[in-house]
Parts: sequence; C-alpha cells; structure tokens
Amino acid sequence: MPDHEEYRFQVNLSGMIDILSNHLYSSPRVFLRELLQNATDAITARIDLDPAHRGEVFVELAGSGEDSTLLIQDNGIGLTEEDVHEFLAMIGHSSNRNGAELLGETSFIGRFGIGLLSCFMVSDEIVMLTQSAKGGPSIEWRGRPDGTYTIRKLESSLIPGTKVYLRCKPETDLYFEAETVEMDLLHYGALLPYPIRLSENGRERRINPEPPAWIARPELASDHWDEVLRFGEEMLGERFRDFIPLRTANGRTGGIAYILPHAVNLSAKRLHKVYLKRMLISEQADNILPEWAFFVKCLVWTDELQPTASREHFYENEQLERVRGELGQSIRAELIAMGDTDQQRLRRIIDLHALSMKSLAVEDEEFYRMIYRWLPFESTYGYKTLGELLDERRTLHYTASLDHYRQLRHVASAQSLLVVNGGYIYEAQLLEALPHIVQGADTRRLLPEDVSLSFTDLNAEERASTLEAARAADLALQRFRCRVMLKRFKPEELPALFTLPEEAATLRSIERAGEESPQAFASVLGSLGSSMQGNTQSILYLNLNNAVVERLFSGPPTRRLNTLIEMLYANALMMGHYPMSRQELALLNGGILSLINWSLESEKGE
Amino acid sequence: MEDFTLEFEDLMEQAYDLPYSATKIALLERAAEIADLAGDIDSGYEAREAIVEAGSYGGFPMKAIVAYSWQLGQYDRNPDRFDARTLYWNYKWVIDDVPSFPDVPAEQIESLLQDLRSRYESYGVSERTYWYYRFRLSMYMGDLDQAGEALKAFRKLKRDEMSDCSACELDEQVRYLLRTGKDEAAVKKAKPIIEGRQRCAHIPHVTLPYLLLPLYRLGRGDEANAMRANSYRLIRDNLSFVQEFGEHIGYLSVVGPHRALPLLERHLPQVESHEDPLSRMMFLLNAAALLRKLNRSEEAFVLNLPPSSKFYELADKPEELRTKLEEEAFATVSALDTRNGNDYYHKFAEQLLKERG
Repeated sequence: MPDHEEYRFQVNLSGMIDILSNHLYSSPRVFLRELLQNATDAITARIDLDPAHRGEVFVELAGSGEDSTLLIQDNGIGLTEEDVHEFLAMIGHSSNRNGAELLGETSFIGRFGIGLLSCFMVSDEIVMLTQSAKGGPSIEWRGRPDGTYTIRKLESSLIPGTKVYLRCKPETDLYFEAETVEMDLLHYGALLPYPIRLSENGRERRINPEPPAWIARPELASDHWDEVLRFGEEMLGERFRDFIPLRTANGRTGGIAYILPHAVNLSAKRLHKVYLKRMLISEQADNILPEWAFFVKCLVWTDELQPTASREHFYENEQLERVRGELGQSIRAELIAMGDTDQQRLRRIIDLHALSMKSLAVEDEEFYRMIYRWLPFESTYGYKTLGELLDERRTLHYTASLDHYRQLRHVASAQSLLVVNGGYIYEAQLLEALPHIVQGADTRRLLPEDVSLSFTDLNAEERASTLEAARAADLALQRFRCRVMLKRFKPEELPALFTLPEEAATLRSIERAGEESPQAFASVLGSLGSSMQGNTQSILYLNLNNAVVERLFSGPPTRRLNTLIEMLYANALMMGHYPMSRQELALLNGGILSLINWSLESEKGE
Repeated sequence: MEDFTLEFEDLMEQAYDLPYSATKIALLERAAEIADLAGDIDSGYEAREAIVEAGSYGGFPMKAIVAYSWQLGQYDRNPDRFDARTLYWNYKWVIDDVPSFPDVPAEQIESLLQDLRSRYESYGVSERTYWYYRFRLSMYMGDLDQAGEALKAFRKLKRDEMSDCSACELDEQVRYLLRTGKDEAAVKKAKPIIEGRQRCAHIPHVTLPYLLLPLYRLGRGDEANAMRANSYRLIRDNLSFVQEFGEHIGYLSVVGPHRALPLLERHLPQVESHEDPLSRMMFLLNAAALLRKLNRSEEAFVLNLPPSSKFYELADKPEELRTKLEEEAFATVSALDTRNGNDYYHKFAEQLLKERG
C-alpha cells in the first residue's frame, strides 16, 4: 500500500456542512469549542490510560486578515490510522441520516470527526497531524470541503497527541482575530483543570486560571467571598454583591447563584452559564433553574446532564427536572436561613427582587411564612412592607386589580381606610392567602362598588325631601346606563364619585371602540356588547355633604336639574380619569354653553 | 401635555416588564385611556397594539378584539400613518378568537373572513392565509367538511409573508386529524413537533396536551407519561392555555384522577372568570369529567378552593359542584351549536365525558 492516497468521502460533504452551520450551530464561532472539546476528550482518554498524565492545550495564531492560520495542539491520546478511517466512515454513515442524529453521536471517535467537520465553517483546508499514544505510525490527514481528502503516513514519529491546522477561508477572518480566539478559549475552557496556552505575535500566555477549590466543593465558597465575587464578574460580566452556593445531593452538579444587583424584567430570558464536564455548554441555559429563580444569574457545572444535539442546551428529561429541583432547593434553603440569621441581607435582596420573591411565595407556603414580613406592598398608607402593614392592626382591604385600586384609592384615603393594591401580579393571591400564614391577620377583597359600604345612607327625612329630585336625576343618566345614588361621605369637597363595576367597564370600552371601528368589526362588537350580562350599570354617587349638591337637592327638582346632573357626571368622569365617548363629550360641550348662557341671563336680570 | 407623555411612557414601560397577565393589560388599557384623554392617536394606537398582543397571547381575547377594532378604524381613516404589515399580521390573531364567542353570529364571522380576504388582496398577498383561517375557523365552528375543503385550497398555494410559521401550520393540521378521529396519523404528523424540530412561541405548548390521550389510546402510555410534565410546565403560567389545562386534567382523569386535583385547584379559580367562553367550556367539561370519575370511586378526596372562587361553597360538595360545572359548560355548548347550526360540540362534550368521566 502506498503511503499517500487520495480518497473521496462517499457523501455530499457541502450539504452536511450546510446542515451544521445553518441549522445546528448557532454561529461559526463554535468551531473553536468543537476543537477544544476534541482536545479535552483526547486528554481525558489519555488520563484514563495513565492517571499521572498532565494535559495541556496549545493554540497558535499566525498571519493576519484572510491569511491567518490557526493551530491547536493537544497531548491527548491521539489517533491511529484505523481511528482516522473509522471517523470518516462514521461521517459517511451518519450523513445518510439527518444532521441531528449526526450530532447526537456520543463515541469519542465519532464526536471527534463531527468536531473536525465543523471547522469547514471557517476553513477550506484542514490539516491534522496525529500520533496515537498506543503506538503505530504518525498520520497526516488533509481534508477539503468538496469531499476530497488524503491520508499519509509520516516518516518520522511525532510525540503523542494531535495537531490541527486551519487556514482562514474568505470572509471568516474575524474568527481568527487574537482577541476573539482568546475570548472564546476562555469562554469555553475557563473551568478546565489543565492549562490552555495561546501564542500570537511571539507572545505566549496562559488563558484559563487555575480552577479554585470551591469549584469542586461549592459549600466552601462562602469562605472565599471576594474571590467568588471577582470570579463572577469575570465570567458573567456583572459586578455582584451577593451569591448563594448551589449543590445537588450527589455532588455531580454544583455552582454559584449570583444575586443580580438590579431588578429584572420578569419576562426576560434567564440566561445561566453551564459547564458540562468542565467545558462551557451554554450561556443561555434557561431551564437549569426553576422559573421563579429570576433574581439570580448562575454559573453551573455538571457531569450528569445530557446535552442536546447541537450541544448548546440540555434535554428536558427527568434528570434535568431533578437537578433543577435540587438547585432551586439550595437557593430556597439559604433564603430561609437568612430569615433566621441575617435579616439585613434578606431585606436587601427582597427590596431588589420583590416580584421574584412574591412569585416564589405564591408557590411555596413555607417560604411565604418565612419572608412575608419583608414583602413590600403599595397601600393607601404608602409603600410599606407587609410586616409594617400588619402592625397597623387593621383589616387589610385589598383590591384584585390595579383598576380597582386606582378607583378606590382617593375615597379610601379620605376615610383613612387601609387599602392594599393587590393589582400587581401575585399580590392579590398573597393577600388572600395571608390569614392561613399569619394568625389573626384579617384580609378582605374590596370591589369598587364596596366603597359604598363606608358611605352613610340618608335618614328617612332626608330621603323623603330629596326623593323627587333623586328620581329625576336617576332618569337623567339612564341613557348612559348610569344610576344616581345620594349618600353622605368624606371628603365633603368631593361632590360626586363615579364607580364602574368590571362588566360595565368592559361594556364601556366596547362601545367606545365601536364608535371608531370599521363596519365588520363594529357589528362584532355590537354582538359582544349585547351579550354582556350581570352588572353593567355604573353608579354616580352624589355627596349630600357637599354644599352645592345639597342645594341642588333641596326642594323640588329645578328645570335645570338634568343639565346639572349631566355636568356632574361628566365632571366625575374627568376626575376619575375615564376617557369619554363622543356622546359624553357632547354633554360637556352642551353643558358649558348652557352655564354661560344662564350666567349671562342672570346678569341681565340684575 | 408633558405630564401625559411621562405618565404614558411610564405605564408602557411598567407593562413591558410584565409577563402576559391581567395587570399588564390593565396598565396598557390605562395607557390607551390617557392617550385618548390627551387626544394622541399615535400613542393610543401604540398602546392598543400592545393590548392586542398581550390579549391574544395571554388569554384576554375580548380585550384584543376591542383594541384591534379601534386600531383598524384609525388605520382606515389614515392608512399612511400606520404600519399595514403589523396591523394585518395581527388580524390573524384576532379573527382566530372571534368564533369562541357564541354571541357573534356566523354571518358576522363570515364577513370578517371576507374583510380579511379583501384587505390581504389589496395588500398584495395570496389567498393562502384566507384559506388557512377559513380552515381553522371552520374547524372551531364544528364544520369539519368545510374545514377539509379549505385545507385543500390552502395546500395548493405557496407560502408568503402573511403565512403563519410552519410549526403553527403543522400543529393546526395535527389538530384537524385529531378532531376527525385519526389518532395514529395525528401522532405521526406531530413527530417533528414532538422531537422539537418544529417549534415556535406556541409550539409545542399547544400541541403536546392533545397528544396525551391519543398516545394512551394507541397503547403508548409510556410516551404520554414521559411527555406530560414538560408539556404542563410549558403552559402552566399562561392563561391563554386554558383549554390545554383542561386537556391535562382530562388525561389525568383517565390515568390517575387524584393527580389531577392540584391542577383543578390551581386553575378553576382562574378559569371561572376567563373571557373566552369556548376555552372556559373546554376546561369545565374536563373538570366535570374528573369530578365524575372521582365521585364514582370509593376513595375520599378534598378539594381546596380559595374563598374568592365562586365555587368556594361547593368545594366540599363534589357532586353538586360537578352538576354546576356541567351546567355551565353545556350552556356554552348549546349556545355554540346554535350559532354554528350543527350539533358538533354536543357530541364532542358527550364523548369527552364518556371517555374521561
């Protein structure tokens, strides 16, 4: 057999490269991860043979721009000639299946080939020199993306390990820039337990730090506070002030949950950085921690989870479910412990991440019991913690929606009623559950129509004297589906208060939109509106404590009553910040003109 | 004016930070209101665009329809002022929800479809999306023959910029197979979705729950069981998946009714006031099936409902509760069938209660 042979893959290689680069990998940049993974796997295999072996990875950049070349060298197990033929055969075999199965390959040799293939995303020629630690000749392999390759046995014998040379292909020079390469090597290999060195421009340096002891034993992290925070800043690019160590019971998954130093968008993706067998697998692992844990950003290392085909995420399976549960438990346990021993620290965290804490409390009664005192709420007594609100020793009225709170706030304040805004997400649920958690706590849900509870009814005499005018007033607003009720309430400066039950509010918005809509939709809105049942009437409460209202209702109704009631109605809408329909705006216009007219008449009369 | 801008921006920002929820909608509605008060049509339009999204994706279809109607009216008055592509894209979300409301007569739904058709035509895209939505809407309205015809017409046309993503289209065809009783074909068609090769913001969320029982019926209970937890995790916190909550309850009712109780406790209070009558009905049917199953078994059970639930008083009277839920569900069943002019949902409901109850 000649020592130099020309071969051709039995497959359409460009099709496969297309699958890899366009469908499976998120960016051509991952070629470096694939190379580093190959080097790591080779070193691991060699250490299996010889536990005393010390691994090393060396990367060299030469040239510049589109003339750049990259060399990566490891002192791992190396490949025999059979190994090389095997991985090529595997590529050929797996190309008959789809690309996902190709990447699902788990054997060392199979993965090695796939990893090498990914380099065609950035190079039109790959040269590999390899010497197996098990002996045999040194081999040179040259491959091109058109599917041709050559294999040659070398005369001289290399030291065991593998070297891969890549020549930059046009328009991919950005992946060969020293800065990018350095960043990516650190990025993927920061936790590797042996040195990665980079040489460029004659300068050589070690990329990854010696891994700290608390990586293997996260429970030690608290003793290295500043170091852990610095490490987090380096790895995650944010300056943290606090963290919680993570660990599963079997010790095969560990990590650090850094408390985010700022409030977070609840709908934002939770992006944690996860290392599988010390190699970065994902910076976007959103499923490694429970969803409620959005106040932390984590570094996690594991050797017990199964990566997806693209090796950029984990399969959602029972294993992951368990790990997620246990990591969540680490966080929860630490927070609960803080409630006992370090309330300052807990309070700082809660102030920043109230929403997150509330969502956790909703799901977990025991957690709620531990931290309820520190959860902040908006109330008619200001922004207070639940503990402070309970110390008022009053019934905590709460609203189930933000709209209700806005409607009730002013009236409630005027009457020093303690109303808590339950409108934000989770809050009504928490307030409803509070009596189960705290002995003697009294919480009650309040509806807009309930404000009337604190109003004083008229006495029999007042009722009799205002009856006629009250009926006329009620009639005046019937076309707006609004009822008029006479009451006495605080503050007396407030002549009228408009309240809108939920159904009525929906109907109101349907009718307003109907005025603006094209025909096809206007008729649909009409059908939806006519289907509304239940309490679709709004109520205008008029305050007999108010001097003007009192005058209006003393004696028989004046002929101007209709206009005045309409004006009070329009005024109450404006005071309550309700947008008005065209009809209601017309009331206001007409009313103002009438008022001007009357005042001119009365001047003439003088 | 200055104050208005500040308050508007503030409300929009607060809303942006929240997941789809009643709170988010309330903030956006408030933003739309103050824009209207200030007479600022552009801001009102912006806020309503967000309401349409949050409503369609978050389980508030009525809010979405109302906001969208207003938007479309503004657009017609002033077509150069707004982005037609976004507006017309969102039309699909809105029209998809209309048949859920039995009070909207069939003629009005038909005229919406024709309105969409002519608007898309003048916008310069093919009739593909029109046929696709005719397919979907016919299916929801229990007319499977018409759905089949529309599906054929749709398949003949090429994708264009108004087409739904391929995962959504695939899902809807899986649903058609399921509704026409073809379990095996449906599961086969859903394979790319199950394997995660076809996915989007709603897929596989709305696909997997409907595959649980078919898999079980096909003797592939292990696969259903393996899929269940992840499927539930995907939908659990979003109120637009009320029907899917029901589907999970229905599945558990068949394979292990006691495991469905926490789901019922969690979701019934959310669903009882849900805007969408069709979704509510589907949920209540499954809930009733579960209670029927539990009531028939000898084992005692406790249902823990919060005091704010309108069914609170019935929590310890499961047979009365079941009757009540069934009554409510069947009221909607009848209303839908009357509107649709067929007896599809009646048969559907009877069949569901028989299999799962």
